[in-house]
Amino acid sequence: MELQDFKSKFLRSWVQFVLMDEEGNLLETCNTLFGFPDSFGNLFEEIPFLDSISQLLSDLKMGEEVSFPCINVELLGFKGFCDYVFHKINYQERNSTLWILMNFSDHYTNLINLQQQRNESVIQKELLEIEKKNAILAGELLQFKNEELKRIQKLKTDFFSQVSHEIRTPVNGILGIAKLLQEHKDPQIIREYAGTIYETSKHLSSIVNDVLDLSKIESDKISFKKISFDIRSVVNAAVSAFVYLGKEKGIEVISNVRKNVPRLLTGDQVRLSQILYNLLSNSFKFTHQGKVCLDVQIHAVIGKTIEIQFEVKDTGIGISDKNLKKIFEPYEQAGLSTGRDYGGTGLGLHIVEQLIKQQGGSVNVSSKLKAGTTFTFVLPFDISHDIPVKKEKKHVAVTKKLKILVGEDNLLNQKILTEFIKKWGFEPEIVENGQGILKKLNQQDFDLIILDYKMPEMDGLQTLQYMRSDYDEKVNSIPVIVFTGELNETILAKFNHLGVKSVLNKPIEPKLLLETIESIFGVWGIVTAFNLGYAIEMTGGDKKLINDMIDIFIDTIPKELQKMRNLTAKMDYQTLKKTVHKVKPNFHYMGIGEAEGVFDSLESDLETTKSWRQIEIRINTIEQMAVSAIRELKIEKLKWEN
Amino acid sequence: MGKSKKVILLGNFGVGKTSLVRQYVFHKFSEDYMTTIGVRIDKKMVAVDKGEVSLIIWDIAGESTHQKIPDSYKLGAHGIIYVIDVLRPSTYRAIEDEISSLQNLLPNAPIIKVANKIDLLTEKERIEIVNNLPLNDYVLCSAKNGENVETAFHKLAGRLI
Repeated sequence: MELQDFKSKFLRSWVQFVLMDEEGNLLETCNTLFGFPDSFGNLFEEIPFLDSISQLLSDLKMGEEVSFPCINVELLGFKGFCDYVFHKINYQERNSTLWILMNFSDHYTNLINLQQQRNESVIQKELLEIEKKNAILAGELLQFKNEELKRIQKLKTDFFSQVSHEIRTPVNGILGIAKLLQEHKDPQIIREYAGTIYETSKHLSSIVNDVLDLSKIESDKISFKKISFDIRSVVNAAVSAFVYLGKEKGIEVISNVRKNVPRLLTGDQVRLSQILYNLLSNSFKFTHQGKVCLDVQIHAVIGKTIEIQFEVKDTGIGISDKNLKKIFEPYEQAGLSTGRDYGGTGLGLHIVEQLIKQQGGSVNVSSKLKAGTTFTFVLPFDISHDIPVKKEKKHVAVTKKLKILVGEDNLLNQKILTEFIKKWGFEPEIVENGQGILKKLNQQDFDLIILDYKMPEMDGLQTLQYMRSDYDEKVNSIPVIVFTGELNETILAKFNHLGVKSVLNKPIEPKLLLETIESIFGVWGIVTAFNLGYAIEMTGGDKKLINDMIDIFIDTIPKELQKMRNLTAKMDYQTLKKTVHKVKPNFHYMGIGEAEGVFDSLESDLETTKSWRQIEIRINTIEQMAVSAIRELKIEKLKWEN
Repeated sequence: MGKSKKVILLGNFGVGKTSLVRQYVFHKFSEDYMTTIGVRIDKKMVAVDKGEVSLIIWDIAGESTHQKIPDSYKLGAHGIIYVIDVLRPSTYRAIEDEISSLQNLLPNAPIIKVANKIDLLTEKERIEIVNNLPLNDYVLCSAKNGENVETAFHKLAGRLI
């Protein structure tokens, strides 16, 4: 045999040649690695690898080749690793593709072991590096915590010396004036001294209260009540406390509770007042001109919880970036000179932060030197379905002349209720106690009952119990509103159990009462109603088209919102962004303006923060708005159809 | 028969490309790491909104950069799945350059970024890590429990028609 023959024989044992036409039909094969059965069809259709490069092969020019090293092959009984080379050739005057399979299974199998060892070693090394870094970080964190503890300890020591000074000064003042009092007999001077003692004692008392609060916070002994309260009253009371001071310092005081914030919330009113008072007091302390503003709005609605955002903004001296970082730390004031120039223990803001955090809220501060400071905090409150929530829509028409039966023993309240009920176009019937109520119910039909809780002979609670047990369904279907001077959870639960629509605090606030009546006879809901103004303008008042638009909104929006939820769960930014973009205009067409604002925030979240928690909250809020709007739109449609 | 589309799986070694394909095509998973050399080809039919598509999946041996992979593997690819391991920053540190270079090489091929091994993270860690990943729009997957594996391939298939 010649050398050439040896070479051919050797190559023949591990190289297979397959010839096919341009459509992938088999022309010839040498069957070295595997043979093609007669039933084997078109190569492009039968072999996925060839299928995926069929276009590439058809684009090859005559004489060109393309090669693919190290292909895992499992084909017609052959299993191993091959290098593939494809040549475009002219075979028997036809354009054909020559597929050369070179069997390198032994070589590549050895290579796998080496590659496996190399990869495992690199991965192991990487994971060890990560563990090492984490251990270093944990060590640094521990060291930082130790240093923090030392720093806090030092601050505590400094704080006690400062508090001692803060307490000693007014105590000395009181002692001094008390001594002077003993020496004077002039009533005018005595009154002045007594006034000074009162003011100094108040100051002393606030320092002692701060220290006691801090002690409670640090020992985790603080508890929060859950009682229904009127948020506007709390805000007004907090702001009113600074009106006089504002006039004196020439500072404007502005407060704004957004219209859609429910009037009644369930939470700790006293602690909320304390937080607001502390923040407002802080703003006033560091503001010498301009204004201090308090803005209150809904942050989010999550199930039965409503998050309210409070913003206290001033045009004061501001805080430097360096001091801003430590602003909520206990025993700390913004800069050493602050304590000297402005007084105080430096506990107020720390107490505020702790009171907010321990109620499940959050607080932030932003500031610019010489421009002012803004404190923003969010607190969760409970919403009760039995408590009417004020609607954004100012007027819900109660067109029917309601007959209202009122049980109230106080003459002044009787007078107020009579006048206002008449003014609103309704018909009042006043009785003095529960027996009067029952008697009237036997004689006439009424649309609404307003009951005072405390009445002589038979109080509001007894009256209702009697009605529920002894009267028919017709009487018991009349909505009831109860007034009480001692609104708390227990009373609320008792009346709720008896199916009362709403329990309101005394003294009577006519505006709130009217809103409650409107919400009973109008529509219930938290959120802004719709406004079809835009749809009417857009369609030229075409009722059918508007009806169709409402139907589309009612049908599609719940599905789209569910889709948004699913995309949020999958953290699929791109599709969620597209969906939000698609859904948003529907809310515009229905005039649900507030939802558009939430969509804007949602779009901004998707572009910037990418906080999925925040995105979820926004979608919840939109969903709440959609649910209310759909409920109202259905009612509106009924009206149109009638 | 649906239209065939060549899909290439790229990414560093050990990120779980082969496991993703095994889970997607055969619904199987193995805890053992077996390195891939060269390329292994599998096929799966997928029904999408606009019809049916036959994905021919090229599971390519992992490399720190696609430039180390033979050019012929990438020739004519219709779509790309780029896989990272959420626990190994080295697998996504250069992802921006990688994606940009692939976009230049195959301008018409959509790229799906898959963050694999999320079963090894708590919910909190997931959010932290995902928020700190370079680029966005990852499909968070677990080849181990199958979470979102279908989604990743389906998402790509939808963009191939």
